[in-house]
Amino acid sequence: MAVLPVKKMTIFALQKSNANIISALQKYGGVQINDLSTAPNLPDGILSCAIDDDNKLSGYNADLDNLFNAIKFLGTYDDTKKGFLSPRPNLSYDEVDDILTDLDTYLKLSKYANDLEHNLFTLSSQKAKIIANMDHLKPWLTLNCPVNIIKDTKHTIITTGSIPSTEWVSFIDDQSDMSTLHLEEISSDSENIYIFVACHELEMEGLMKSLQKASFTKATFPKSEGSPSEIYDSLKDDLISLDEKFDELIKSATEFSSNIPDIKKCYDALMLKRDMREVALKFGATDYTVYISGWVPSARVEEVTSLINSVTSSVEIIFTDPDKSETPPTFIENNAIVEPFESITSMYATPNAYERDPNPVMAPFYFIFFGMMVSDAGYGLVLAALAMLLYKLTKPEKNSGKLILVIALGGVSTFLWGVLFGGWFGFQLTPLWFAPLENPLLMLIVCFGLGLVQIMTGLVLKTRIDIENKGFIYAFIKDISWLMLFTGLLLFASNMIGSSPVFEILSSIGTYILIFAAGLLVLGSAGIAFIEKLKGLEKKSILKVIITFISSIFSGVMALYDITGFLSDILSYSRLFALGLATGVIGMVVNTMMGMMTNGLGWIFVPIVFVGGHLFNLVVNALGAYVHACRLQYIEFFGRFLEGGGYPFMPFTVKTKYHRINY
Amino acid sequence: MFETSMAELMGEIPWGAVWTITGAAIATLMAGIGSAMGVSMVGQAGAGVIAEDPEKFSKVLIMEALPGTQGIYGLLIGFLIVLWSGLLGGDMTKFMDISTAEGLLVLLGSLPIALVGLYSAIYQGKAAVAGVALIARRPEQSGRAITMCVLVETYAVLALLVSFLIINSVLN
Repeated sequence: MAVLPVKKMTIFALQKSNANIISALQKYGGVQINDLSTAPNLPDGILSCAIDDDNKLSGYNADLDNLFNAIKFLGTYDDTKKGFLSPRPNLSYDEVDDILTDLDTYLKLSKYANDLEHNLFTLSSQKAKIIANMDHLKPWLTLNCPVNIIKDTKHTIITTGSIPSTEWVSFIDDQSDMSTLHLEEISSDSENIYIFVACHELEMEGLMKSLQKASFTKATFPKSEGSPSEIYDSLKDDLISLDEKFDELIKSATEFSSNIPDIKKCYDALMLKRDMREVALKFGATDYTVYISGWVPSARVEEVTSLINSVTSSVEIIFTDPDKSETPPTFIENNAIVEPFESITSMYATPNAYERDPNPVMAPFYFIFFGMMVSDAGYGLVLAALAMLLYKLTKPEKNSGKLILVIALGGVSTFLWGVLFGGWFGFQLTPLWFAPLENPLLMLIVCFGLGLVQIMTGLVLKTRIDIENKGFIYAFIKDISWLMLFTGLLLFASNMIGSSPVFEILSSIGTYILIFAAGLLVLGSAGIAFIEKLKGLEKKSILKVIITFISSIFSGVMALYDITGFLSDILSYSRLFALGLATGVIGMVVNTMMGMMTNGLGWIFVPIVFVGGHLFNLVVNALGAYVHACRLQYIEFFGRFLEGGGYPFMPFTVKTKYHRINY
Repeated sequence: MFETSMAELMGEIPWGAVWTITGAAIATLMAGIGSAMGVSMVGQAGAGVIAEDPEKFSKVLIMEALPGTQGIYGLLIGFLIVLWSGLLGGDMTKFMDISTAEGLLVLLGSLPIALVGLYSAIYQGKAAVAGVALIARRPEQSGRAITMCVLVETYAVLALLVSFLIINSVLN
């Protein structure tokens, strides 16, 4: 239920046992291996294995890339139906070596797939080119002379091309004084006019000038024989044959895609091999031995010892506690209820290895707040049911599973708050406690009250940390005074509930506690500041001491300024009300809209509106509740005591992309 | 017809009801405009990311949904005004009996969510666009991108609350 201690592990073994040890550790999956290739100082005589890398690792990575590209490409042509929510297929660890004996075959298969991809790409760009050429030919189809004779003769200039329609009128004007000009308009479209023009060479200059002025573009033809329409037809034939080739390739890709499951198996097997090679490079070595350094959770020390001893008896395993200069990884373990909430904390920061695990304290607050922000019993049931269904169907890996479980637990909380507040699918029924819409001020007080509880919990945690790190007096002045202040404030405000003599007494006790706490805070902070500043003074003259004294009083009073921070934090909890309100009112809107459709044919739409509207409301508000509940934990709770800065415990374990490994 | 004086004409308009519905309209429309702009910004940025890497769709979609909540808050206030003023239920006597003062107070009460909804949605959209850029480079940090974007929404939530309290106190 906490951040658990880890021990440093050192293994000395013979090199011939290296592969078996690696395989055993990978299967066990509970030991973190340190990368000695980047370690600052290795013990005498030990060299990093990374020096011996024979490019095997990069070979594995290149092969993995090829396999992955093949899988991706073939996946687009694979039309076998896959269940959207189906779990990952299983693969046995012992099959891995068998699969890898066929590695060359799979690499050839993936090369074939990659070639297919390449050919398809070439074909489609060829097709595109032909289609573009066909488009360019379209204006010339009525010109029924072979294109190879459209060129200058001995004494005439002959050319074809296009003129933008905007220039046409001025072009015609320019031609009015040319006597040997033959101008034919072949066709026109919205942008250009396509012409055939010829003139005597003596008038060439004038023609060229006016053509240039009119932005004339000479026509080019993709082939040099035949008339434009003949060229067009032959291009069409080319296109048809390319299309046939294209379809053939697609057919073979689709057939070939039946190999995908096997290629995926090979991928995962190779991935395991690659990981083993990668970790082997992290070890150190002498001529005959191998030196492994890592971290093991203290609870697993015996297991690991017997595991390694079962592989080989010629081995020395040493466990030591981490010394002050080393930061061990942070290893967190919690029970099944708290574990899903670890995902919330890990999104913010990893606690450092010497801190306490915040998850068990955070989990109940998150649970409560999520439910308050959705607070509809019907939605809660749907949310919990859907999330559990999703979890059972997809059987996800550890980390994605945590998110689904958080939502499922959130659904339970939503149901509870929905019952308390009387919200059922947007309908306001009799609440077990009270309806927030009818008594908003009470709801706000509840929200602020819960917020105050969380803030004070954060203060208590901070107190414990401060007692350990900075001594009891510091904690008493800085943290316990705030706790007393809030307690005093609450007692003081208790006479607003009612006016019985009990409340009067409580209220006056509260006043005294309040004054004492405020005084403690101000004077204590002043004292701390005074001592600190005195230490920093080099020359201790009476004047300087008095100045220091006055400035310390000032900083003592400023310590009270933190009340504004607390106030804004408490106000932040009003979002519990606001978001729950949003869900409730949208639900009401959906139901009102439904009510308006109940005359005549409208009945058909009623279930659509009900399901659609409430589903939309549920999704949007569940997302909002998830995010805002996270935010409350991060800013108003963790911000008070969590240091962070740790790195998570990452064991060397089996990692796969497509399969689930079983042993 | 032309003899009717301005005063008489003005006197026939039920100003209380008019200001009330103006408040509902303003709350909904301004917050809605803000959300539309915010969500659209993120959609445009997200489309660019998906063009490069379609795997990131779900993460980008969540970012796109985040600036949308201000529009919902505006709807909420608008709906509550229309409901509590009696217009939705058809209670025309209650609706027409809203005094000018009450109507103006409702109009003022709708302003917090209207203006804060508008601007916070736009700025949250900008933060979400930056978050999408973060997700494009480091998809595993999507949780942090979401958190940073959601901090902007605090102010819309506070404005919603104040609008709600004012509307509730005036109309109930």
